[in-house]
Amino acid sequence: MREPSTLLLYLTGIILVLRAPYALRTKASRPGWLAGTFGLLAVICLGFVIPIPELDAVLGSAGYWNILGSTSAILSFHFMYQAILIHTSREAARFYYPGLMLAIACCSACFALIDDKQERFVSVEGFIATLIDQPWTALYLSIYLGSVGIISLLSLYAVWQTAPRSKVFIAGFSLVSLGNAIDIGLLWLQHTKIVGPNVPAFLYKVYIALFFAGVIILCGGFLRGSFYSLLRYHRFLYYAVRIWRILAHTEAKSPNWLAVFLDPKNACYQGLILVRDFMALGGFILNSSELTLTHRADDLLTEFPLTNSS
Amino acid sequence: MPRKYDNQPIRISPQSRIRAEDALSKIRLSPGMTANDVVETVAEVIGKPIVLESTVDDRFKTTTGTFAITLEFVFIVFRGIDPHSYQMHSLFHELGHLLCGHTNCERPATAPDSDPTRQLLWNEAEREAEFLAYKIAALISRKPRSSQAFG
Repeated sequence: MREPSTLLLYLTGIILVLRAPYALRTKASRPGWLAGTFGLLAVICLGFVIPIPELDAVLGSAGYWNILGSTSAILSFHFMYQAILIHTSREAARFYYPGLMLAIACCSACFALIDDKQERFVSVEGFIATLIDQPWTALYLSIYLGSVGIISLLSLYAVWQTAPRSKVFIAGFSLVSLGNAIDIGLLWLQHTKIVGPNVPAFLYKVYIALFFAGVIILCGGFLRGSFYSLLRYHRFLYYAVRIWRILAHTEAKSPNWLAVFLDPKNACYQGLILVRDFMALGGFILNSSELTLTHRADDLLTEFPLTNSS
Repeated sequence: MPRKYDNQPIRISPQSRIRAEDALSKIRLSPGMTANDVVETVAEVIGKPIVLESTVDDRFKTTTGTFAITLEFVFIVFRGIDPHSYQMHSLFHELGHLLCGHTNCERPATAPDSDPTRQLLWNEAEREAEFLAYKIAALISRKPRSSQAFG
């Protein structure tokens, strides 16, 4: 569990950093970014990065790391579903929001009813092994895993119903749903003690493999777009800065550099238009490398963001 | 209107801005629209077909584009030797004039200033059209909502 958790930690951390500029400026980007942020919080609550006792100390030494982790995971999948709804232009399922609030409330209530000192546990496995006999523990974990599984199934349904179907998201949400279904079964097997100790150990490994594979695939799907956007951003930024440096020879007003960094595509476009205006009206001459640069910037602009008419 | 699209290099008076934004509100632009789609949308608003002509005429040495309104149609000419993005900008500038209800795209009889951008933007009508050209380009080149969700 440590290795996939570490990988997940890096992936969610990258989502947090990489998507932050878009999330700040674009409303439609925020759910995807929040999904990564809550995912990161949920991974941290597993205790591999910050040891559980230290994490617990920050939260008041009352064992709240556990409920924080499960609520963060539910919220992470909730925001993932919101991003999928934006991506597929669909409405949320009927009764989704009241259902989500009810699930979080029930999860917290069951956790509060568990009869033991939570602060003595230093891992999720230790918590489950010791307290699975209590029905509130089985209920708490079932509601948590069930909520994540249901939200994954809803996301899977939205992706499945929208052409072209994204294979990455179908694979990711299927694996997460299947993994959580297996883990719920496993919890009740452990609670009722109707099987020997080998079966839960095997099923737990299956759950870990399915869940983490699914989540890592989903992170890949979330990051793919950000990665392409980042590449495009840097290309536009490069051309925008070069073009505004050429314009500096004309004593044109210096650009607002913050605007250039926030929206280099727009700055590149505006700079290119100004260069052409100066060339046409002011007799401004470009040398061959500058001319090549403006042609390349023009190709980039017409290739992606400005669609040509012909 | 998102704030980032207000970062245009054209300074216009508040009255002109209101007029230009009113004109822009007559058409519905969405990300991914082509220049042809914008032309068709504007043609619907003005109620006349728009004919486009790219030219390499010598008379267009220092003129980037212009338009003429006839009884049956509107004729827009733009300089064909320019890069694509610049041709589109010229086209959007002329469409800006049409949206604002201007009857022509004028150049001053004598150069009022040595600054070439002032030659282009010498009156309110030209500034409004130029402002709209940047707005149209920015609005159609936004990322689609689905790309915004994951990109």
